[in-house]
Amino acid sequence: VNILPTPPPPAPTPTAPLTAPPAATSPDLFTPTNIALIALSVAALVVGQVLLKLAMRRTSDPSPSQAAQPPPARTGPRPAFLALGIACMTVWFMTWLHLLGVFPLSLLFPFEGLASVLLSLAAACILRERTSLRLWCGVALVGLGVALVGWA
Amino acid sequence: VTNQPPRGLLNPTLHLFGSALLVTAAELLLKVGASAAAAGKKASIAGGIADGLASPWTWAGIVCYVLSFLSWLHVLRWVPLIVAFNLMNGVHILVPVGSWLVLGESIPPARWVGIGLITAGLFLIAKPLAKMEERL
Repeated sequence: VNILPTPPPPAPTPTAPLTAPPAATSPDLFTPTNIALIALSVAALVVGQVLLKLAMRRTSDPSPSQAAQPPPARTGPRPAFLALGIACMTVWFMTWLHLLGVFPLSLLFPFEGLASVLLSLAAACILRERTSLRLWCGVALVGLGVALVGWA
Repeated sequence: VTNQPPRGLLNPTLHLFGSALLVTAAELLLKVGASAAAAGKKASIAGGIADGLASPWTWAGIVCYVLSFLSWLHVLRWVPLIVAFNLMNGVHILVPVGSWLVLGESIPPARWVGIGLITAGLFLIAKPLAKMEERL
């Protein structure tokens, strides 16, 4: 016969806040430092990817107007752009990893979606890549979708 | 000297899919490795990282990340950044679905809506890539 009193439930032990705090504390999270880190993360991702594309693309100017001309000789990767691109992506990775530990996903993913749209604008304006209305509709849907996917 | 995208194992579209799948695998492996580290209950960040790096899952995840980056560079050689990067956002579908199937995590309704929007966007964006394939 079990006459022992049931042991009390273990007291909640304070653990290190390795996971994101609840969204209720969100207003406190948007400090000037954190806003600057989010901006740095987005900028590093956009600049890094543009640099990687510049490093890898085969011709110096693949504008549509030159499409009719004979293809220029293939060029190898450009080491300087590649190194700068990898440096930017390292900054992005470290900043993003830090932000993931501080913010809940639902607050962070809208910026991931925004970064995707900004990167598309950079590809169109800086790299002069060909776009269409259909493509921009897709970019908007993907950006919106990524922002929503973080919703908990 | 050719301006034609390579076929077979060096096909850029194949590498785009491969890169997305490798990133997904990397995220899931790192989650498993980090969970093993969290079970060790190290209070300090350094202790947590040390525990994480002790897990073979973490190292498998890092290898997947490096391979996906090499694959990504090959993709950038042939596919416009605006098309490649937006298609790469498919990982935001693959990671929640993979977490659901492999790790048993739940997907709240709003996340399903987001997954639906991304899927619709991917179909719109994939058209130029399909056209590029047709020209092969």
